[in-house]
Amino acid sequence: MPDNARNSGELQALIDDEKFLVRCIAGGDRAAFEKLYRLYYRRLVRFLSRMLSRSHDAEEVLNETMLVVWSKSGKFKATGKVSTWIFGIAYRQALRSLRRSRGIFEPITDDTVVSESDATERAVTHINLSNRLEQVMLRLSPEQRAVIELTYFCDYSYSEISEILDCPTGTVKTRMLHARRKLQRYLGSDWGQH
Amino acid sequence: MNDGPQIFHIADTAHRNAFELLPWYVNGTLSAAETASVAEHLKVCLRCQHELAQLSILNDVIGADDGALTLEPTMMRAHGLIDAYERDHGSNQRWGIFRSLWRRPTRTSAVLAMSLASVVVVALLLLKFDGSSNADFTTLANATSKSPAYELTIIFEAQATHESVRELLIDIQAEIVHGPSDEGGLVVAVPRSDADKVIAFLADSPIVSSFAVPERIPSR
Ligand SMILES: [Zn+2]
Repeated sequence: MPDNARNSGELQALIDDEKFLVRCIAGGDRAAFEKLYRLYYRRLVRFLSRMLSRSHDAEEVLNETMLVVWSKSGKFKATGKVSTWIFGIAYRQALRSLRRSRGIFEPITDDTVVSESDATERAVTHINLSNRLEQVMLRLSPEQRAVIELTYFCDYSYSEISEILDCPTGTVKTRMLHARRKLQRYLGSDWGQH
Repeated sequence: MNDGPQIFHIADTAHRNAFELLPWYVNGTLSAAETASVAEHLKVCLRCQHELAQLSILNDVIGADDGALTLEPTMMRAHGLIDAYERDHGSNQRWGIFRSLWRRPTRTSAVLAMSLASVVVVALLLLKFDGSSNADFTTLANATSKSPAYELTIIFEAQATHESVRELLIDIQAEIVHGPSDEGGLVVAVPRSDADKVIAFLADSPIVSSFAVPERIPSR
């Protein structure tokens, strides 16, 4: 069990701070916008890079996301969490971007996925697993990619993910199960045994 | 995969629950009860142990940092987008005069107790500077160019907050024509093509006390 326990006082302070920033942004405060931008930049670029294919510009969709944050900040509900609100916007912007360029987004072909029978691949390292994973992630649906990224990179709980994706928690769990099966199928069942 | 006889059958509820929750066991976001239950199951289930090992590696690989990014130039482009947005939709900066209200540490009795008159005044001043759109209604940009305005008078409930009034006006894409009157009435203009939908919306709204339509409802 990894030690991911957050100090609840610190977490609450961060949440309050982010809500304060959103209120300031609703008042047209560019400095507050920059602060929020810096807080989310890395996470959002990473999330959007995974959501979109390489031919997409994750940073462009990030800026579309932050423009929505700017223009809708007055509608943010104080009872919600800023991070799930922003990631929800980013998720919808990513889906919109994928729809816009449906022709460009092509799944990779089978021969680009490394065969699990290849003996050299059994001694997989984190680095080449990471490279393979990048390709295999493109085989998942955008919804499955979102669940994987939000869980493993952003450390969200399944209920937070259900808020971001605007779907029931059962759907989040099912998408995760399907994603896990696909990852195992394409990465090879032995990738965890090294 | 390990498939020894000691493995729980897939139909086993404890196994199914634990197996499903493993990704969030790995990222440490399960509740204490869920964590304890998964940990208990892991002691006896080889399949879940194997899955946990795989998922932990996945967590390490996916969770790894991607390295250098270029925040500053990207953020400059974001400011450019906002500048363009503000040119098209009116400056958000004009909200500034209400910042003291927003920042007041009370979320609170003071704000909630604001009079209906100030509610509507705030709404009047704020509405124009928000370009939010609602898919059910024509956007303001389209409305002004394509659809003649339809005016109606809205009276709000006494408990309506400035925020709820502002949201409603944004939702129906209304522009304030004049008001508030002494009775708290606000005359707003909405795209004529949206009039029927707006009327249905107002009829359902808990913060609208009444509304008056000065002319016949246009047929759609
Ligand atoms: Zn099990």
